[in-house]
Amino acid sequence: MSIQVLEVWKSFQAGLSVLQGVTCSVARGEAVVLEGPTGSGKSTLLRLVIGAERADSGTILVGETEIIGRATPQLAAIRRSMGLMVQGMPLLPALTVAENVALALRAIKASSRDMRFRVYESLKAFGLEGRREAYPSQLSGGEAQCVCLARALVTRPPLVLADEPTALLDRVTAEGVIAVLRDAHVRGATMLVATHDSNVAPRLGARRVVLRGGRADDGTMAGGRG
Amino acid sequence: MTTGRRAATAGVTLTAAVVLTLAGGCWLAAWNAWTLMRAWQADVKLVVYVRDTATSEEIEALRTAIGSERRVRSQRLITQAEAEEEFLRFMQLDRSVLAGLGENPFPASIEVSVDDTAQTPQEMGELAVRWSGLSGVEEVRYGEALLRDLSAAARMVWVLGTAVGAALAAGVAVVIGLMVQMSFGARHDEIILLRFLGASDGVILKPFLLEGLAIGTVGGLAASLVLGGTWLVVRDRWSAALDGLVGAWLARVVFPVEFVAVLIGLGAVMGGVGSLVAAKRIRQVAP
Repeated sequence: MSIQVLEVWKSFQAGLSVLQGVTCSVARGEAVVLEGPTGSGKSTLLRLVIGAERADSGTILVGETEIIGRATPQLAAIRRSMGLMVQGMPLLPALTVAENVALALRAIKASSRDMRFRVYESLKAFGLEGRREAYPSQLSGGEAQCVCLARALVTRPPLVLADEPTALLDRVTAEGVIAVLRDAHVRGATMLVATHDSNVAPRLGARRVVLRGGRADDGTMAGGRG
Repeated sequence: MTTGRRAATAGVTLTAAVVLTLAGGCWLAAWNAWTLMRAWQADVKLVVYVRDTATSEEIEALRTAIGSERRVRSQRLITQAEAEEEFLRFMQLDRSVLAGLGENPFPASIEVSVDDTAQTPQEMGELAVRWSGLSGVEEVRYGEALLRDLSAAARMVWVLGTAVGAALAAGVAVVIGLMVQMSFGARHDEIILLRFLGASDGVILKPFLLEGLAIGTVGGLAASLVLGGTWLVVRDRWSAALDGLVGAWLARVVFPVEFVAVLIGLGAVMGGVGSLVAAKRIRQVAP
């Protein structure tokens, strides 16, 4: 599943454009890391791609589907093919770790038996299978982040979007997370990862696109508004 | 489920049970009053008074004419002598009080029962007019006022009981709908998350719908138990303790078994309707 972002503009206040005609693309099966300093619009771009924010202008295609202008219920089908770890998707404090991860499977109407197995497998990839019955308040920041990623990957989605997946992690755990993402990519998932950590792209084997001043630069293609 | 939500759910279930009990009570009372009045109506007879001068051939011809009417269920001839005997027995009088009256002053009559479809003021009035014109008939009476009053009362009780019951049942839907709306508030983050994860409206709605159905079903079951228990107490204790019309009516009050299924089904339907109406808000919840 590919992503195409064409001439996308987005501002939150009049006269202050976060994205100024960003153009970039992720081919099917490709991994791309969006880099840039805090406030460069990485998270905003991810939220635009999943339809959680609406662009002022431009075109965003996920596969063959135009995202801009679609209402949330119409985006459900396309989101079911995505594994998301973006801002605004915290763990629910009233649910256990296993229940939180299972929410993604509930969304795709997986069977109960399938749910148990896949939740276990997904948590095991992060070494968290022993924390299935814990509540989010009992987790460290790093563990909670890993559970969020486990939830994003538990459905084995063809497209993964992750926002700062290694931000709160120590070096060892971050390596583990990158390994899990790399496994998903090797299995064929298209990947778009936003991070300010310049070590992620080479370890993931991903192409790097840098967002700076509201424009994208991948070194090879036109990035933003000329 | 948190303690607060559990308490709220229990409160709403109790409220639904109370309202359904009131609604069911209204319908049960209306149903019983209606069936009782229908029974009384069935007791109302047409009385064809025969002229004193009518011959036995004329009386026989009258009975044949009346018997040929398809709406007639049964008829009974009361001779002058039988009418006199009945009067004395009913009034508990001695025959001597009639001594000064000369010949038997009581007219012979034919008491006619008609089937259910003819037990209306219109139908009976039409039969009375038609039979009044037959040879040998003095007059025809059928307790017009009583029949009219019973018909009107039965209709009023039925309409009133049904309307109040329906309004209360709608109240159940409103109460459960409000509860579901509160649940939306409590589970707002979960709905947002499910939206992110691509859950359809159906997947998001399912737990709320099930919650509404469960509350309505349990409420209907509780209402059935309360009404059934009340009916047993009324039938076994109060009807015997109360004299007169009220006691007689209470003794005839019935609690149909089907009513349990109706109350439970109604509770479930109202719970589902309340949830679905409240669920419109789901479409407005979007990340």
